Amino acid sequence: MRNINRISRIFTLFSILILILSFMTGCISDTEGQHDKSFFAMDTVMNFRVFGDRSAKKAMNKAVDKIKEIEKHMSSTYKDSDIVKINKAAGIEPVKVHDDTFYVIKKALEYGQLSDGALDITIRPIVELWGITSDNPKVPSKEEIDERLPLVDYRKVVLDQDNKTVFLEEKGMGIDLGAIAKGYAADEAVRILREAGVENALLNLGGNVITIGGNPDGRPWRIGIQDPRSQETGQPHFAIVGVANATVVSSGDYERYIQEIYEKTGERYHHIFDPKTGYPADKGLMASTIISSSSIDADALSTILFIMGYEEGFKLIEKLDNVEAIAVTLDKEVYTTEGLKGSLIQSNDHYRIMD
Amino acid sequence: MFMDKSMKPKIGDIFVYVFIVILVGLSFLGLKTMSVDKGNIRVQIELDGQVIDSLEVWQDGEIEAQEIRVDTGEGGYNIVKISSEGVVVLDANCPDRLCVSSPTIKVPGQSIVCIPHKFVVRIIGESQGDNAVDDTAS
Amino acid sequence: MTKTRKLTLLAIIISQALVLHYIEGFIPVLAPGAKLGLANIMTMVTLALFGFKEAMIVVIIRSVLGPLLGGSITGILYSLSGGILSGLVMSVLYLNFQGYFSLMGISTAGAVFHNIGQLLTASWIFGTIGILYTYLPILMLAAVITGYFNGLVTRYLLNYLQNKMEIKV
Repeated sequence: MRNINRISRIFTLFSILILILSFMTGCISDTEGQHDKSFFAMDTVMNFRVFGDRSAKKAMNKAVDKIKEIEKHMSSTYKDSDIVKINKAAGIEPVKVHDDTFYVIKKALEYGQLSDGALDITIRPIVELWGITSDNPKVPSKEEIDERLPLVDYRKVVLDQDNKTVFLEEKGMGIDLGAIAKGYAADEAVRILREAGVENALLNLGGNVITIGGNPDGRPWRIGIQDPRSQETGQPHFAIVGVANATVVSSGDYERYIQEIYEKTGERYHHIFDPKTGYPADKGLMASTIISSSSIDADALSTILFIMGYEEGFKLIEKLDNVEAIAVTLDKEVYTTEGLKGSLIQSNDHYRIMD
Repeated sequence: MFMDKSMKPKIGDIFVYVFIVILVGLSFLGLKTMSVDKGNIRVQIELDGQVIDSLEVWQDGEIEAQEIRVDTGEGGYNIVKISSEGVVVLDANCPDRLCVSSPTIKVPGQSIVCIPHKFVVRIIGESQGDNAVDDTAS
Repeated sequence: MTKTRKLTLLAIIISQALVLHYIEGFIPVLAPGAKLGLANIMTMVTLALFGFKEAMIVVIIRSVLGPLLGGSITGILYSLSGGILSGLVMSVLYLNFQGYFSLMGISTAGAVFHNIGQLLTASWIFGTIGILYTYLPILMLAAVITGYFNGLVTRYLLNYLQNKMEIKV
């Protein structure tokens, strides 16, 4: 009798210990040093993978919050955003905006100038006309387009550096930061992470891939470049690049286009409009990719490259530092800038990588 | 006195060793549950057989809950919620509401269907091979 | 025993614990922040000579001073967590369940919880529990060996103290 008593007492003691331990372990989670988070912002899914200790996880959450804050300022739909206010006051009066919005608009106008108008954030009237992001996209008539085209002119945006105001000169004008906002958001996220000492991270902001350092296992991050015709080829990507501390951004005619027309006639009316014509850019490319250390540059330049076409686009890009580019023509030929020659690993034989 | 008998193994000692074995066992279990199912999955929404949305999500970590309203035409709608718990149809205005009462799906291969609305939300696993990549720029 | 004698003894015990802590720093580390726990010999001795209060004081002082003298601040966190957890467990076992455990058993339990405490701290610092699962098995092996060894040494130490120094256990 006494022996059973002793045994059961010891047994209870140890059971309680195991219970306490299992509760404690429940408070901690994640695989070793790797913190993942998926969230929604800027109309898309964003995935973060940050390596490090608790402070890295904190920095990651801080970066997520920053992105949501940026979205509030630069969204075209959020009703109190700077952009919505600017668009409402077009032709009426200047609008004071947050510092980050001002910075992004200023940078975008610089790109407008650099690309001679290929990137033009005042493209909104055309975007709305085509209704590509709405439920009823349609092909507008030439008259409708010509009517709105004069409103598309980045030179008609007036900035006041001292008061941080933005003014659209004509009524009916509108700006859309879609081509550049994610890039800015990514750079901010990276800044926050680096300040916290993070050395390895992989971020995906709606398809824009940003890396800090390389893979913690010592190799560079292997990033696939989206196959623009993956629905036909069945392959996810056509090439792989190894990157560290760089951003990879792709633009193309495969992201958003009018489904019904494509199905009936095979014609693609996609969403990257040429500000000079008001029609989807047709300089012969189906996709453009930029690899750069700056995300805002990569974001802007991938649109610029697509709209300019690869000959003119590469001329512009070769003049810039720390930027490399890949262009895929409608004939499935792949061209790259000098710095990338020989660095692309082909993963799909529907495409030809040209010398 | 305690000291004289203290070198002999006693019954409590056995418990100590058993305890250690249990702990080691739990560690292996813990390790196993973590390394399974690593990687990226896609939540794909289809209407009438057409893929209208495909969201890539990294399932290892925290997934902030998000509700997506899908208009299925002629006034119909389904509301999908994606979170760390999985994917579920929160609400719909179809006559039978079978989709709403479907359990949460979590694993590639599973799907929730709304037949009246011709609506499907499914989870797809991305399997790679020789051309494995850490992520794709799209 | 007189207060002076007790104070002197405790001081010596703590210094021995510090020496042990220093020496085991030279043994290669198996897991982040993990030490063998040789200093627990002194915890056991204090438990036997005095009691719970004194033993915990020894543990805390050694856990703070040890890493400090070695030049590490995070080390304090590891030593404290391992030391306090193992100190508590050993106290409970020794003082309440004496008849059921041998000295080796108690020391092993102490070593086990010493390592568990350190692993939990490492997991908390790195924000991921994978560390606990990965390193626990190997540290358990070390704990068994260390525990046995600690028990032996404690026994002989206590023997010596009782017979040669006339200190009652």
